[in-house]
Order: sequence, then structure tokens, then C-alpha cells
Amino acid sequence: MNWSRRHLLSIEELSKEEIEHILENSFSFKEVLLRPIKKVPALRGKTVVNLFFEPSTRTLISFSLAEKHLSADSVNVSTSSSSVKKGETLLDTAKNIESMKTDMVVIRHSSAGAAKFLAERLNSNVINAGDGTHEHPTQALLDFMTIREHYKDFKNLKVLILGDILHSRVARSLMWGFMKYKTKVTLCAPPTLLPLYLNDFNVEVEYDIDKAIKDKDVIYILRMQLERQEKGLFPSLREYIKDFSMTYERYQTVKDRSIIMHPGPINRGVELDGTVADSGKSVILEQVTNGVAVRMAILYLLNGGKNE
Amino acid sequence: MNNITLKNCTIVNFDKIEKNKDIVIKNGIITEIKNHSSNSKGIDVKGMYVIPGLVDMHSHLREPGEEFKEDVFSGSSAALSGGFTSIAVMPNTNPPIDNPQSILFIKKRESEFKNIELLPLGALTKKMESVEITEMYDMIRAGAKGFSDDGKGTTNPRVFMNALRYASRFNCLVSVHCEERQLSEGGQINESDVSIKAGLPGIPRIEEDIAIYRNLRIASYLNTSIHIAHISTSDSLNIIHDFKKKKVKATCEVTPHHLLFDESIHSTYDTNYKMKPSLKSRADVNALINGINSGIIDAIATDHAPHQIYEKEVEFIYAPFGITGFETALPSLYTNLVKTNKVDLKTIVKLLAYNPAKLFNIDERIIKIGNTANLAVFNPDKEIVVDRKFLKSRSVNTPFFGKKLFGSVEMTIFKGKSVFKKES
Repeated sequence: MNWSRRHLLSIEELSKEEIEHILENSFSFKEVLLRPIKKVPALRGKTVVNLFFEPSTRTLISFSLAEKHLSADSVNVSTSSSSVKKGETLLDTAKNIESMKTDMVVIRHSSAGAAKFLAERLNSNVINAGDGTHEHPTQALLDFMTIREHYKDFKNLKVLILGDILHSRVARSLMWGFMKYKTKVTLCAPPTLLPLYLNDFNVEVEYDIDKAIKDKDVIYILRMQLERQEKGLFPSLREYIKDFSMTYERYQTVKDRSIIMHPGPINRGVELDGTVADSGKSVILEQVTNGVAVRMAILYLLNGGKNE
Repeated sequence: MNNITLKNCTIVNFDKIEKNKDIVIKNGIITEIKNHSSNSKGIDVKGMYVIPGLVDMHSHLREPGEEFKEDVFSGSSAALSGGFTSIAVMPNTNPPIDNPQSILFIKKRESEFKNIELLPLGALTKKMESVEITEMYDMIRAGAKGFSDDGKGTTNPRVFMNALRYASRFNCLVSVHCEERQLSEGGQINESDVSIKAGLPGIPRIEEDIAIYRNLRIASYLNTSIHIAHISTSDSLNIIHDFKKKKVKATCEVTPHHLLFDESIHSTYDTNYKMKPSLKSRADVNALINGINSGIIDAIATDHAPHQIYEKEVEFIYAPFGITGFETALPSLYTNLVKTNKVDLKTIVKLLAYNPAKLFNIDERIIKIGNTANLAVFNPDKEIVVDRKFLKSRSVNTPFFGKKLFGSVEMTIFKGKSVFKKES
């Protein structure tokens, strides 16, 4: 297929064919990643800025490594709070950086729409590395790549997304993606952590975790954040663990072939039992490896899909 | 100098439209309205509508404190260019207009500008903090035309009840911003499928009607009149309708943007659609349009809320709420509601001029002999481009920016004097 996108802002905007095209390229780059010498010259002479307005370890390292493997020059700008508070707007920050003649911007930001905002105003290619509770497209793509390594066909899969769906950009990207494959998706969370409106997503809700996990091929567990308790959205970790955590007992009841996924970082003993994370069905570290490959593919495609 | 004759007018009043009329204005008063005769001298406005000078019940001029967004002069110029000759000025400035000296300051700025009538509203509570009520007697003596804690709302029901009772003595307008803050806090746009998809924190729509119900109950308990500012939902409309049927002295207003836009636009993350109350569903928009046709809604008010581009051109969650409206109110309503036969032009005149003037007890907005000549000349066929040159406000945070609209205010007359003329 002909790749024409200049930016990667969401899974919603991608077609199934585009997702497949990214996955195809990702598998090629995974081969590169597994070589003793991991470098290709695809982005030689290109400058990439990783603009992270939210704390991140995994995603930032993953992008940085992907850029290095493609021979790009990259710089990381990490700031835990918005630059607005320092008196400079996001647009000013981004335009200043672009004036130093950069080619691509990877942005993570706490406001939904921040990546689109920059894409509409900069000349650089923009990659959304997570915008508020909107989307996290590269995460969903690396998840699809990981699932593909276990299941050829997405259409007949039964997927469970477990945890704080309401505040999860990962869940939104996954739901958009699975909808394009007509995958059957079930959500499980306390009602206060589920969106009140789900009419535009083709998903089912099951509040009973023991029923929800029984027949699933993919169990995707989201990170639970303690601040939700402070906001009055659930009463205690104790009760959350009792009713919504992947405990060791529950792990015994999932299907033999099913895989357990998590976007990281995991809270051992909270949303999943400490031993489940290391169990045979867990593909959490495979996800991390695939993250580098997927990000290499995206950087490569947005740059025009040409080798130097 | 003070005499103007408009020839060939199509006069639009709230109750009737008359064609081929000549209007003679002398010393600020309409002295004659007669059938057009070809030998009369004056300004030919053939094909144009002559409407009463518009009255905006709700605007923010940002002075004192935020003059980089707007001041009395720039805001008044913008209002005149939109056909408004009287504008209500909300007290949520910095510091707020919550004392007689501040009212006098606004009156002083009005007399310096000369060409418009400002209707200053004093705060209901000191610093708009919903704790102590303000010096309303003194503010009325200084020239206040009403009271409001707009932008915040008087959150404490006991304090609000006291304020409303205290103000009842003046028979003036008390405009109430209804928002249940404990529900709306932290939200960005209406909670719905749109907010979930956009990943923006939602505001449950009930925050508005819950506050409206509470405040209407307080007004009905006290048997005082109350004006509900900028309603945005069908639920709010239904509640107000119920109270009106029970003869509660309630009135309400709607903004042009809540009559024209729905929340689906938020997929663009354009911050020129970020306002309070938030945009709602298309069903709500249709209900509000029915509300203006049925007479449940008494007024259309702009809620003109200027912000600089650099304040608005930021991440969605950091952008301030509010959009400007003086210059685009009439053309946008004309283009989208009148031209499409959803609303009669007479109804627009009624809600943008006749009714608000009655609510403020100011010069009657009917074009007839003996009335003060507050008029606007509106060319319905002329296309306008909403650009920096067209907008007279210091700020351009309007969703119409860069767009074309039908209908151009060619001239505005205040007390018989031409105070705005469109450059050709």
C-alpha cells in the first residue's frame, strides 16, 4: 500500500489496512532488532525531538532506542509539568525547538488533543506518544503486534480489558483498533471507572470479573492509579483487589491458550498478582520488545518509508 | 447635525414588518415615519432592514483588570459594529464590580466613550465569593442596572436567598449563572460520547438544570423575579417552562452559539468552541430553537467573553472558557436561523432588542414616532468575512473567525446620532 500520512495521532483515524501495513513493517524491524548489530541508516541525518510533558520511562526509552537504531539524531525534552506554568506556551516551546531545524516530534502530554494541536501548527512529523485520556496509538500498535504473534486472526478473538477504562488512553486506542477488526471486546471495571457513554464503541460490559475472564483469549490489564481513590471513584485498594484484580486464584481459571497483557508499569499485587506477571501466560515483556520495533516502523513510515 | 432621514426602509419591529418607509430623526427622537416618497432627502437604505438598536443582556468588557483582552472602548466599538446600542456589563472583572465606586468607574468610562449605553451589573456578593451580600442600595444609586455573580454563581443557597431578597426591593434584573460547581469542577466539555471519544474530562449536563431548579425554587419561595443566564439544555428549558406555567417571575436567555453549534465539533479540539456552559447535543440545540419560537426563552444574549489568541491557542485543557459575540451575533443568527426559515426575523428582534429593553426598563425598542432613535441598519444580502479587520474587539476568539456570514450591519444610530458606519 501507499503510505501517505505525515503524522500518527490516533488509532481512530487509521484504516485496518494502515494498521496491517504498520504491523508488517514492525515485524521487519523486529528482525533488525534481534541482530547483533541493530543499526540501519533509514533516518540518517534526521533530527527527532522527544517532547515529554508527563513522566515516562518505558515509552521515552523505547522511542529513543528506536530512533538510534534508525540512525536518527534525537534529543529528549522531559518536563514533569506543563510549560504553561513556566510562562511559555506549548506552541512557543515547540516552535522554538522546530526553529533549530528538527524533522520529527514525538509528544506526550496530559491534555487530550495536544499532538493534533502541534501537527496542525508545525512542519515536523508528529507522533502521539499519549495525549491525556485520548489515545496512545503506538501502545495499541505494539499490543496488536504482540497479539499477532499469538493469534493470526483478530476477528474471532475474545478480548477483555480490565481496570480503569475511564481514564485510560490505552483502552481507547485498543477499542478503536479492535473495532476495525470486529473483535469481540468486553470491559470489566467498577462502574465509576467506566465511561457513562459507550455508544460509539462496540463493546460489552461485564462487572463480574470471574465471569469476564473465563473464556477470553486476551486479558488486557490496566494500571490502577491510587489517586482515583482520593477522588472517590473506588473505596479502597483492598476491595478493588478483591473484585477486579487478576489474583493467582483467578489466573488458574483462565483458558490455557490465553495471554495476559499490561501496558506497564505494573503494580504488583494491585491490578495483578505479583506472580501472575511472571507466569507463562504473561506476554508483558514481549510487548516491551515489540514497542521498539513498532516505533521504528512508525518513524520509518512517517519519514517517507525510504532507506537512505 | 442631529437630524437623519433614512429612506426606503424596511422597518422590522418585534411584531411587524413594514416596507417602503422613510424615518425622520430629529434631536435624538423618531419624529416621523411615513411612506417613501421619491423626492425625500436622506440616506437611501433600499433593500435593507432597519431594526431597533440591539440590547445585549450579557457581556464581559474585562475592564478593570484585563484590558489586554478588552476594555470599555474596544468592547463598545465592537458592540456598536454589531448593532448593539445598550449592553449589560458583567461584574466579574479584576477586581470585581462589587461596590458603588466600581459602578461609578464604569459610568465614567461610559461617559468618556459617549456613544453607547452601558448597563452595569453589580455583584450580588462581595468579591463574588458567596459569603456576604454587597452594598446594593449604594450601587443602584451609583447607576447599577441589576445584579449578578456571573461566571461563578452564588454557590451558597442561603446567601443567594438573602441576596435575591435584598435585591428584590429595586425591581431590577438579577441575572443568575446556574452551575452546580461540585458536579462541573474539573470538566472541559459536556459529558457524552463525544467527550469520551475525545478523552476530555466531561461535565455532566445536570449541573445546569439542578442549579436552575434550586434557584427558581428560591425565587418562587420569595416571590421575587429572577433571570436565568445562558441556558444550554432541553432539561433547563423544561424546568423554566414549568415554573413559568406556575406564574413564577422567571425569565431566561440563550446565547447565539448554543443556538448554532453542538458538541460534535469538539473532535477538532478547537478551543474557540470551549465555553461555559458547554455545547450540548443537536437535540438540545433544536429544543432551544423551539424555545425561542415558543416564547419560553425571553432573550438572546451574546455572553461576549474576549480572550487573546495566545491564551486560546494552547492545549485544550489549559484554554480559558468563552468566546466573543458582539460582532457576529446578528449575522450568524440571520445566516443560520432566519435564512433557513427556522426563526422569523421579528423573533430575533424581539429577543435581541424588545424583550431585553423591557427587562432592563430602558428605552423601548420599538421603531415608532416619539421613541428614542436607537437603530441599526442591516443589509441582509451582503456577505461579510469575519476577519481581523471586521472584528472591532481587541480579541478575536470567535468560532466564526475566517468564515463568511450573510448580513452586514451598515449603520448604528444611538440617540439619533450615527455612531457606527460600515466602511465600504
